[in-house]
Amino acid sequence: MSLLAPSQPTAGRPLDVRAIHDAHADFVWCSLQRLGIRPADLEDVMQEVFVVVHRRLASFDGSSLLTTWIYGICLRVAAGHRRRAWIRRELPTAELPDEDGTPPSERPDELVAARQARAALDRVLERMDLEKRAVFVMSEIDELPAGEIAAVLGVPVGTVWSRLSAARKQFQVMLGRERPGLGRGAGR
Amino acid sequence: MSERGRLRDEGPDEVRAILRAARRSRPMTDAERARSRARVVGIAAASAAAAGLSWAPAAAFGAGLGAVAIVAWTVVPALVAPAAIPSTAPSARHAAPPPEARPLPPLPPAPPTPLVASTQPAVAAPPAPARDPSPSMPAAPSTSADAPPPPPAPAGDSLAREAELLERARAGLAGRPAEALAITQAHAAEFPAGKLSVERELLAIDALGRLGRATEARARAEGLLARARGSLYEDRIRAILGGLPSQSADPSSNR
Repeated sequence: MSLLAPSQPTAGRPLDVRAIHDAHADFVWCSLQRLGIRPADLEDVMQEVFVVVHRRLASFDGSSLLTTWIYGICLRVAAGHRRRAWIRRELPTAELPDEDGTPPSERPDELVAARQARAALDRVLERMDLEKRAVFVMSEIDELPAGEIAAVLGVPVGTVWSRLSAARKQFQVMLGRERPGLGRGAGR
Repeated sequence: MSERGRLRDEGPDEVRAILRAARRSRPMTDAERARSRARVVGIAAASAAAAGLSWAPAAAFGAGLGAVAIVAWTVVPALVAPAAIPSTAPSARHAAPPPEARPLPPLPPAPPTPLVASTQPAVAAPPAPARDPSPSMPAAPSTSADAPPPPPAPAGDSLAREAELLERARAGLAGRPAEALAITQAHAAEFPAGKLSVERELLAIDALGRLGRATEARARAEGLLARARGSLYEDRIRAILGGLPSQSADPSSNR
């Protein structure tokens, strides 16, 4: 799945929140998942993003890709959502049942193992810094190439590598706390 | 595909297993996309309704803002969720909308086509709903010489109705284009100068194309393109035009 929408509106042209939604809804949707928004909250948080997009549209000056600008909004909205979720003590997400309609495994032991692995991963990701989490998920889970991540973040590829390195280190530290014995020796 | 240093490829076995058990980000379903777009249409419509009040004199503005608030509460419920929107200007939530791209002017009513379902003329609209918050609100003033012509009275119910109709059309577009087209025609009859008329026309063009009526679709798309040049709609219209079969391959061109 590509992060970038098929067309980037030209800077300086009139922008409209509906057209932006048509072009970039999938991008926002996937970005919010990478930023840890739970499936049950995705639609509401997505609406928050587009309310902000609509409100802030006049401030978009075309100095970055529109997707980079939108991603910044996703980041801030997700951060606010995360703060509120922590306050409500709704996290971690790992205790929630599967919500995405994943077909059950034929073998219950595999299903249990996969769910436990996802639960551990969710707990670790929830404790990572949001920006590190996003770049980590883009690379390690969604397997996006560094060049594509760089385009979204609006940074050079070298910066993506350095952020990924920091994110991997943080992930390993957190994983080591979650599952002692893991998370060490992987940083080759 | 492997990139250097990825834990999922080069990490210890158990770390790789954890990362590979993770669910990737999943794309939106059609239903989720339709719901999301309906909400975004509501956001834009509520703002457009607020902008439509700008010609009103200050004396009527306060009462008018109440009507706009009803639109926002009706069409965009999440707008009023406290602390739901991290923003550097939270006080703007219920104030006048920010400057934004000027919407395209309403389209004239679409030409009739054989698929029109029976529709009632807009003049038969029912009286204002009982929840009108300001029954004693002074009547809309006449326009001054330099003011734009007054828009149709913005009403939350009509905006919500417009959005609802068009989302029904959009939902049926892929599987039931004839029904989608009929809904756009019903919309045109009910809202001849509706705020979502450009959206309506895009849906109608798309439906005509899906029905194999490429000549009609092309003609309407070119008409819309002439009005929408330079806007973001231009790309969408050109994409639809590009997807239409050539004139010679269009069975409807011989009719």
